[in-house]
Amino acid sequence: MGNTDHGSTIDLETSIQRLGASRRQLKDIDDDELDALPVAKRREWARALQRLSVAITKLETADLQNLSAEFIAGESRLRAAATKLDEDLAHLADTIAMIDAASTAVKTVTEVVSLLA
Amino acid sequence: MGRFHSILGRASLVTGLLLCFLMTGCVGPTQTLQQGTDLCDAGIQYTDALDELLDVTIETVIDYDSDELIRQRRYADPNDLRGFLDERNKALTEQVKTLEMFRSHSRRLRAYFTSLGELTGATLQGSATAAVENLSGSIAAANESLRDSERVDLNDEERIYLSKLGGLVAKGAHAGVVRAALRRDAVVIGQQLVLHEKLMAKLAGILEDRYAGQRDTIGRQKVRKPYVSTDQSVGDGWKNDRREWIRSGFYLDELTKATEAIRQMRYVWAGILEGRQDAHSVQLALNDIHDFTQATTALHEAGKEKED
Repeated sequence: MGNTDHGSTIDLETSIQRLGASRRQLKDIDDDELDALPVAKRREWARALQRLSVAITKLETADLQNLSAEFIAGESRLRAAATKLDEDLAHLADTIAMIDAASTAVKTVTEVVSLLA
Repeated sequence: MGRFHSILGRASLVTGLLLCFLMTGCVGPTQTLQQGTDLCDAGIQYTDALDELLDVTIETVIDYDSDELIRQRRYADPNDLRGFLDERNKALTEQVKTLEMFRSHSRRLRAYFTSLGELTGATLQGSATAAVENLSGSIAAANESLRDSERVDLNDEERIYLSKLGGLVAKGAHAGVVRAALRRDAVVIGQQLVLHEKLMAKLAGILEDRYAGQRDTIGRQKVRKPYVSTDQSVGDGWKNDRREWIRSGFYLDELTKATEAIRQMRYVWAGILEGRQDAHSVQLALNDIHDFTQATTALHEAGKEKED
């Protein structure tokens, strides 16, 4: 499964690169050269550019969405790790609070003993 | 007898202190806490840099698409224009929405580093010193009341000593908690860094494609065309365009450096946890990402000025 996903991702990346190279070639045609073409050819150029650009955007988006799904899969563990850090901090603070509580307890005992003396 | 208890009390504290140091390993508590702080700073800086990079990427893909639509409009069948624009808007909106999702993923990583920063930066040492001083003060007061009994007898000097020792024990324990947290979360953060490495490579791929296209246009329209056209003169404007075109080639190199930097950050993270490297190396990797973000922003702004 993992290998298949990895293979699909590589295929997607290769397709994007190939389409990108084709788009650059299409756009490399100079305005003067395009102006010199018959109207039908110019319109075909515009349609080819449209098809290529939309395909590139859609493939890039699909590639990013695959990656986003991987982020989402790891999100619960990351959130749990952050929560655990907050608990660690609270636990450290509790240790200090316990020493303070012991101090108060000793003081109380002292006061009681002083009253009884 | 009281003296014996006093020595015994101090010995217990010293033993506790030593145990804390032994449990936290060879690296001293101060060094551990400093490494934790450096890692948090680096992690937060990284997520901020990524946020800027997402801004640059989103603006670049939108502007590139708009430039293309403007050129396409000149040659397209007027009946196709509406359909072209609708189709482009739909595809681009989906892409921007997806890119924005990475901002929320990055915020979660930032939240982790913020929590780690709160843990490493917690001012527990002072509180612990005060608490132990308070406790030893209470014991001393109790001794006054129970003068004849066999209790731990603490004089002022011993109380100060115990307080300091309490602070050191707290610092050792604090460092131990930080180190345990780093070890516990090593895999989770390591996986996140792998994903961020992939993200950087994908963003770099998108930007590289757009910048290469933009560079072709500048080279063709602003440099080659005016130069070979002998019926028009070339002057300072052409020189500036040519300089910008040559320099823009180096921006593409920055993309490669930034992708390498995030890979480096992952190795550095593993190295720190194994005690092989210090957090300073993360800072060096971050500098590359920062340089890259600055360079891409500059290129983007330069591209805008060209259009104006």
